Amino acid sequence: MDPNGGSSSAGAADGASDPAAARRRHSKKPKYSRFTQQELPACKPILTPGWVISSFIFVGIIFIPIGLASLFASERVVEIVHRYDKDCVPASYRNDMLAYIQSNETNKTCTRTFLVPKQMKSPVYIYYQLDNFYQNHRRYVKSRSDKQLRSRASENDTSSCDPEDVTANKSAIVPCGLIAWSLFNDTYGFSVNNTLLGVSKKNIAWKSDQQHKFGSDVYPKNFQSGGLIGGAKLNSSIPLSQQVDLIVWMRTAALPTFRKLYGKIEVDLEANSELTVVIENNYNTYSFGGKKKLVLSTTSWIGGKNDFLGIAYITLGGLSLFLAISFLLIYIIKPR
Amino acid sequence: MRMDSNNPLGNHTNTEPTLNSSSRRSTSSVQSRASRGNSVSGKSVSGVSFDLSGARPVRHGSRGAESDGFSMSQRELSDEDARLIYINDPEKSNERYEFAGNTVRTGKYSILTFLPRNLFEQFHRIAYIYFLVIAILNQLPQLAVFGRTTSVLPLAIVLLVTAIKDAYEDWRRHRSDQIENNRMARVLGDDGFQEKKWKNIRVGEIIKISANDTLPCDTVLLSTSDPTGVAYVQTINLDGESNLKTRYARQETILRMSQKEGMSGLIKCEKPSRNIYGFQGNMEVDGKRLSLGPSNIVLRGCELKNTAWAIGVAVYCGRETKAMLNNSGAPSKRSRLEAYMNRETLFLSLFLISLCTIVSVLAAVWLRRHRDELDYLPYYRRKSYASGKPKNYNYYGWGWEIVFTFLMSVIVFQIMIPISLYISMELVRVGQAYFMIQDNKLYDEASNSRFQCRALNINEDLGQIKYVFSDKTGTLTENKMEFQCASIWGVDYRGGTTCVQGDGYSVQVDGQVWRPKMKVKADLELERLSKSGKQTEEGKHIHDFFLALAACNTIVPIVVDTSDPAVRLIDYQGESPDEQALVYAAAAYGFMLMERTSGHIVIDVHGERQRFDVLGLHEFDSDRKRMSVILGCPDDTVKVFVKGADTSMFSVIDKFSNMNIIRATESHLHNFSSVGLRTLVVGMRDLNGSEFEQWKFAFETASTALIGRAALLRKIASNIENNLSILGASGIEDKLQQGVPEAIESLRMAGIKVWVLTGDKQETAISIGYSSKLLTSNMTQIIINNNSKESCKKSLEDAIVTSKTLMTQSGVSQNTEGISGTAGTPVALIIDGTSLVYVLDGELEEQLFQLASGCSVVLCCRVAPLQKAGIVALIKKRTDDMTLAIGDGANDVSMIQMADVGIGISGQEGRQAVMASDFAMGQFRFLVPLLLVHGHWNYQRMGYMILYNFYRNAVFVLVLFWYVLYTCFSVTTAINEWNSVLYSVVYSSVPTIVVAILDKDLSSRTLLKHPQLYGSGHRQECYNSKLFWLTMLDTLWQSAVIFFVPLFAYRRSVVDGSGIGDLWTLAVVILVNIHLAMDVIRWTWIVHAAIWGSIVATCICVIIIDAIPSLRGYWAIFHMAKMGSFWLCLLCILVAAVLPRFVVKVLYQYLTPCDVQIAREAEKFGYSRELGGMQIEMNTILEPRQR
Repeated sequence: MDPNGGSSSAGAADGASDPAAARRRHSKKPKYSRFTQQELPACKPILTPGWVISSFIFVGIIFIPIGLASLFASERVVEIVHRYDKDCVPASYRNDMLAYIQSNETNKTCTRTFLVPKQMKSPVYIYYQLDNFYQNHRRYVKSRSDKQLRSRASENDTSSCDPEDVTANKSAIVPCGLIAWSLFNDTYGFSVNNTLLGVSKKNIAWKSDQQHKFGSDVYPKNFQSGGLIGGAKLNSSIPLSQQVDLIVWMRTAALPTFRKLYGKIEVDLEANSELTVVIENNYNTYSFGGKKKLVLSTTSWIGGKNDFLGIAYITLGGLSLFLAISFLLIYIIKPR
Repeated sequence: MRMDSNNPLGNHTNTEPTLNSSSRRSTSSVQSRASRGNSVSGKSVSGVSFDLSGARPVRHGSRGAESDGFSMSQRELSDEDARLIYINDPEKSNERYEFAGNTVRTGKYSILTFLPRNLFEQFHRIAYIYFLVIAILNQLPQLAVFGRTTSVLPLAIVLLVTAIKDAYEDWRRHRSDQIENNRMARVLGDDGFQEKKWKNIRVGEIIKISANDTLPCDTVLLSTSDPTGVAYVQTINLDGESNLKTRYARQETILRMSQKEGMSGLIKCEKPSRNIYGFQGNMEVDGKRLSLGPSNIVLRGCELKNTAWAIGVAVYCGRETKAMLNNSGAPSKRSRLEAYMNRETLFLSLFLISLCTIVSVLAAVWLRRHRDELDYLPYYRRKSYASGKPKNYNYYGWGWEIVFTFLMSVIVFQIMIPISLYISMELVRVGQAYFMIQDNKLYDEASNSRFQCRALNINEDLGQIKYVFSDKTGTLTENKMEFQCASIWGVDYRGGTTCVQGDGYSVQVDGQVWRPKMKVKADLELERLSKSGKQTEEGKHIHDFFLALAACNTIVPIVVDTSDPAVRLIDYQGESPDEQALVYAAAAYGFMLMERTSGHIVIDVHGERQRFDVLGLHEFDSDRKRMSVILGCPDDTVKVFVKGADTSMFSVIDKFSNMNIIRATESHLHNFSSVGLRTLVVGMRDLNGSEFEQWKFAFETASTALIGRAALLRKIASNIENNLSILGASGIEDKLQQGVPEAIESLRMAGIKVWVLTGDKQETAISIGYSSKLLTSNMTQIIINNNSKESCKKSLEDAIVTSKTLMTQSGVSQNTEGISGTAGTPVALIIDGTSLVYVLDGELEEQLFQLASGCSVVLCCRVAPLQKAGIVALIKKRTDDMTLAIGDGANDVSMIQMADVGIGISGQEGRQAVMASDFAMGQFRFLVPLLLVHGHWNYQRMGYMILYNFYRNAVFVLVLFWYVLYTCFSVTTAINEWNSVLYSVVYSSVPTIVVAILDKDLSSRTLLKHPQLYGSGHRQECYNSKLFWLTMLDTLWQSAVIFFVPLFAYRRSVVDGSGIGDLWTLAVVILVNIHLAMDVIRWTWIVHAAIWGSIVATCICVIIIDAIPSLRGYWAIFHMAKMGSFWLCLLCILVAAVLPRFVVKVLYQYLTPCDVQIAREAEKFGYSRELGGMQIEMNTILEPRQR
């Protein structure tokens, strides 16, 4: 590190009347410290058979209960998934579903009925699920303007919103961009045993988004006014921070199959009760073969119905116990 | 080993043989090429610039005779090659050529040039260019994957940090330059000498230097305070040699200067060159042409000593001075591990390209299949309808989209090539170097020198050394010569009792007692005889012998005051330690050298002061291998005294008289050298008047000759040095350094082959071999000592057969494991320089290599510096093994630079070896802790760090890659760009650096106790292709776990891109840190802090990034963390990802443990009981030293 470090050493050798004292004074001997001599107290763990086996057993003991618990939680979640994109197209349009959905004349209302398999405790979450819809596509993800959404001052900040940035007469679209443009616009109405159920839209969007990402002074403008309508229209008298469906939609999904929260039913649904849904089937997934599903689900501590984590944990736990036994056998059969 | 070259500018008189010029010419093509290049380019800088870098042996000029063997010394300087200097007329000197002024600028940059030049230099690194290209690509709007700032940031940080470091260093250089430039010197002006700043001195100006002043530029001496024109200089700043060297002003100029009428004349000299031991020129004064040699020039940086003043004319100034031309930095070598690493980096780039190809091909297929839908796909929308007529938006056709996808994926996956690795490696090496420098075990008390790391990029090579090439004198031995015994006139004075008498011999001068600084053990019998005077035949010879020792040298006595005013010490300063030893010996026997000027010497012979005129001096040169001095004695006789190596001396000794004496001396010499003494033979002859006149005439003609002066002088010397009568021989002991035998033993146990390359005689070399335990009695010695190619070939072939039979007899092949000594009869090869000439010439190399690689010890004696390099090159060429060369003298420079690792001993012989070396230390025995401990650690740490860095970047890239498969291959990243950028720079870099600096697989105690553990480096246990591919497989698995666990857990859920991205980020960072934690061997608090700290820091960073409302992932992490599945995913990922690695590691360690593993377990459990005691013991040892 110090290329010239040794140069004075040669000089120290000659002439000094008391070389020993001089040396002591100019000694370049490194100062002793545990750090510089790399002698800091340290723990040096070694994988002994005992440690190996006990760590495997430990993992097994921890993982299997967790797996069981999450499986149990997942089992308790009641979930109704109903695909309606095909069934909601009248038989006469089955061969040209695109024409049906694009036409303004056709009747988009569609009524579906199904049984509630188990009792569903409130709140029952209503989701729509889209398949094969790449909300994570690069072009799509980028086509939005967070600045514009946040404040009215940046209304004209639409540079990143291609191809839905401005109208034909160059005035800015609010909210601009492909994401907002393609806002999901099917609607659902629910009734159980012929009594209408209220759908609550309260708290379906993140509070953080409502407060900080979507401005309360930003109102929709020029929205869906172009030649090509992508999806829902927005009431231009309601500020963006209150447009909860938009806010939910604008949280782009990570994966091509995704659910979005539509609303909540805040009453319990009894088992075997008949649930009728009136669907306004407006959203065009037919052009790219996407599926639309309606999902009603209760929730648990691990989220929705998903056995994967439970199974994974039980498998891992089992594997660990198996490995513990195998290593025990190895240590017994082939001791050092 | 000590050859002419370690004695700059002086005559030299030890036994060291050198090859004659004809054999040297054939030693190596490097040299012949160098010298050929020289003769073509004449005296151009490029031709001579080899000198210090040691591509040929550095040779030294001497008084009146350049021993420079190149043709240039014999050639006339042609005008275009020369620089013309008009003495005392700087205007005229500088009008034709723009000579450099004396301003020195070692700073690389000025304020204006700093930015462009520094950037230019930094971008010499290929990795930086790669990242620059990527950052530029990212600026294209079509390819903008990351934001503008984020893409440039990492590169910018790296560049900035390096630039700040460079700027600081440069500022310090500027500051020291300024101090240098503003120093004052006295320059001859219109009215005498005036003070002038150094920076204003110009070529041609006359400068006056007082005692203890530093020379401001290279000056040719014109006159000194000494009437004979001698000036003594110390060159410690130039080459670190602290002894005084003599320089001379020409007699003619001395006369001229004394005339007070102003000096004028023309100096014609060579262009600036780096050769600090060579100078060539002539001077025209008063119509006379005087030749100038290296002894007439004093270089910048030298200090004038023992001379009241000196006057000289500036010939080279500023950056053209030899000191400045030699001011080049440490040599740069590249470590073996880094070379392998580059191979693996190539694999990674292929991998990167294939990932990108996969993505772009898939994207192409997707685009083709959906080509009809693209216009309306809500998430693609190729057409823009905004301005009435539909047009394509951000779509340039299928082909271009594929190209863009490819380039975008390169941008996204860029960290597959680990840029951070290069920076981390440099930081780690600095850290490792710090600990090596700080290590008390590598500190030399005697010379007060620490370990020095001069090259910062080959630390890890120290862990894989297979061959150590060691010099002998000064490296294995102390190079502190001690006169031991003498054979005079056929009598060996060794048997008698020797003791140091009280204060030793002393003389009275002006009421003061003068005594030699060093005491020498004196033989009582010899002392008695020497006191008895010249009466007896015996006494006469003894008298002549010691007179020769005292006179035939270039030692300068310097009188030093002591604390006692009545006592003064005589310090004998000289360039050859052998000569010093001889003069001290002569002083001890009553022949005390009191004074030396260029014209006479004063010797105190048993209290009687005698003055001898030095009529002529033929300096030592490597062809004659002897020196002689012609003395005019007080009794008006003229005598020539010669001393030199035995081989050269016996050829010039009068064989017909005194045959018995010669025989006896020869046998004594053999005895001396077989106990490891260095021997010199002394002879003398009386000159009669005509002989002397003849010689004088020839000598004077030759001294002023302009062409072929060196050859002429050599011829004259040979003429006078014949028909000598033998006086005797001396034996000088060069003591082994402390701990050398143990060190060699350790190195051998570690499987390192130690080759000793020495210039000494065969017998001396073998005896040193025995005393250093290099040779043991159970070894079979094969000696190759030939004078012709044919016989050499034959003996090599015989030797191969012999060694093979010896090895098959023992039935153990020893060359693979390297741990010899246990395996049957080990073979030692001893080969001499003459044979090596034939071997290194060509086709015999292969045979020598075969033979040598089978031998456990190889001893090469009488080798020339370039042959040393040749032997190193031989091994380097034929094996992949790492070589290390260690030496202390200028003659080792070529070897040090040739070897993979060069180590300089900062000892007695100046600093040239140190300047050329990669590492420098005080003692040979430090090689053991350096290699076995630090080398082992560094190798293990660096190997692991490289693999780990490959892994940590690849795992991240693969996670990104898996995600791309779920995004229509549109290269979206779920992990947000800030996290991507910070990942390799901040999130995971600190722990790996800390671990690579601090982790120790074994304690130094264990490593020193079991040198065999060094074998792990030889077997490349810590870094090899197998490990690389295993790591990559593991990487694949771990990345799959990281990606797919959340994917399945959040399949068909409301999770948003940023949220799952945060999960992936945290999972990757925690996983790579856990992975590292699993492999850490020594957990100190620093390691704890680094690993857990960086996990915590990552969490904080992720939270901060998610708390910025303008970013897309605002608050995502909090929403994720609310869900139980988030935590379950993390835990599941960690356990599942690490599991295979853990199982394999446990199985490997249990079933096929390596040496290191066994030692580690032994260390942990074997010593556990004594652990408490051990630490206490260590403390008590170290405590007192601390004070």
